[in-house]
Amino acid sequence: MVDVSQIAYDFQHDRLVWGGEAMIMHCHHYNCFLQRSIQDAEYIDSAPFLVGAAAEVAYGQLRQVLADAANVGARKNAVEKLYRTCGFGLIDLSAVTERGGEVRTRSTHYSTGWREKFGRSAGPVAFFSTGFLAGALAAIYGLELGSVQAKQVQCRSTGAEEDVFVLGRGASNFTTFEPRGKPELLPIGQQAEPETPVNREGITQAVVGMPLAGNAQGMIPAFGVYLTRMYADYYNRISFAFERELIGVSGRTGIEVASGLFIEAGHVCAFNTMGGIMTSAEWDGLVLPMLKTRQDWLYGIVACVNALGWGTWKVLDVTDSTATFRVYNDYESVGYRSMYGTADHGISYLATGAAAGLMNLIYVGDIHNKPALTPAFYDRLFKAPGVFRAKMNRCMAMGDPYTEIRVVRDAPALRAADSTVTSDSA
Amino acid sequence: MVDVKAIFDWARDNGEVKAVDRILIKVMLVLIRNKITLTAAAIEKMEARMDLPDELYSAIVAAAESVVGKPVPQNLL
Repeated sequence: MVDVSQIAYDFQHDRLVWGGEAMIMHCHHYNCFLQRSIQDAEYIDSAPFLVGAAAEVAYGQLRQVLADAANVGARKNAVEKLYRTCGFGLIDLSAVTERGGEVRTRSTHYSTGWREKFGRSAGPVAFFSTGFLAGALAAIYGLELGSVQAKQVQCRSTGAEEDVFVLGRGASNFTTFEPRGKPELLPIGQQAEPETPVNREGITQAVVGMPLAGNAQGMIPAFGVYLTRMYADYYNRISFAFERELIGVSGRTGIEVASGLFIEAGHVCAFNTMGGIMTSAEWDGLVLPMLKTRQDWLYGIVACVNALGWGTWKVLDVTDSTATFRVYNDYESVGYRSMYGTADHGISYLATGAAAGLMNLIYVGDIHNKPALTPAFYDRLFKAPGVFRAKMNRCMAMGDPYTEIRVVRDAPALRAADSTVTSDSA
Repeated sequence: MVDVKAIFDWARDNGEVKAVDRILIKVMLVLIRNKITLTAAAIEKMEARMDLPDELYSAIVAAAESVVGKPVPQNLL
């Protein structure tokens, strides 16, 4: 089955599992920022694990998804469709045989996204697609993942006409990881959230039902970004593999340095994707009529977050200067525990950054006035004094029953933020 | 020994939000080689000049220029 609309969303845990892999929504800003943060450490050879992480999840998923496909042709068609549906781009596997082959394309999420966000790159950037193709080759032909190779030899982000990937056989030229354990989900707490006229469940259900699938170019342009329906464990693997490498180089200082950049990636995510959602026509039609206060805006966007597959987010309390977010089964913790067991430090970086980002958009950035989501606006929300900072107080990966993020405005507000939204647009 | 505090300040003012973190991650090996522990929080709190070995200074200048995307002004070098 390769039609994502036929995959049932798990509303109890706010997850989407497809072929055994948790799939989550993220945009090209987050994807490219996260990858660039990893590649900044040029003394760490990140390409093998960037490719290997994608190969791991694609191989794991495709072996399940392709189980019922009648023959090689049907398996190739299914892989091409899944890749396009998820917003990864377009691939044509017709030239690929059991021995490998070449895949040429003019549409790849990372190549397009990188060029749009950062401009021309010095080298190929589509590590995800490289690894996906390695996993696909192995899954289509029933090969061991450790017996295939993949390399990107041209990349549109560098100015080339096409992305070109070369697949072959031989001992893998990317990292193969220890098998992951079965994901362990913890029960969702039943504590009440603050009263609001916002229909949280209705919003989550409506967003889950939106037709967010790749177009003819294999892209998902929505809310001003290119979305992907990405593997949660791709992000988890590349983040935690990098963090472990950095700890090997620099000890515990590596955690501090890496966490700063990973949390920043969460800011980037919130600003672009959540900001895009809150300034969209879909928001105006579906959510805006329920909103009276800034608190309502937070409840509304968190209801959208719960449609992205990130786990179950709850807002326990919120004022003009503080908020507490509790997240059950955040995808980072679920992934970490399945890969490495119990963590000795908090690792829910995306959740931490996103929580602060939401508060900054609503209480500092007056998102209800529909500001343009420009780099200058981003700097104002995250660089200026008097903005919100988040602290991870509890983390499920450390053995806590949930992850909890406390967000506090780090200096007296620059101006009083009235709880009532009074802009022209709200 | 030369002062790099001004370079970090310039990068923070002219670069992206986490410019200092990106510089630190780029030069981490050189920091370790020189047995120096430096974090963005420590730099933020530091008010006085920060003198570092020449090798590290050069690495920080190169990383700052890469992160900010323009040369460090001559008056800071």
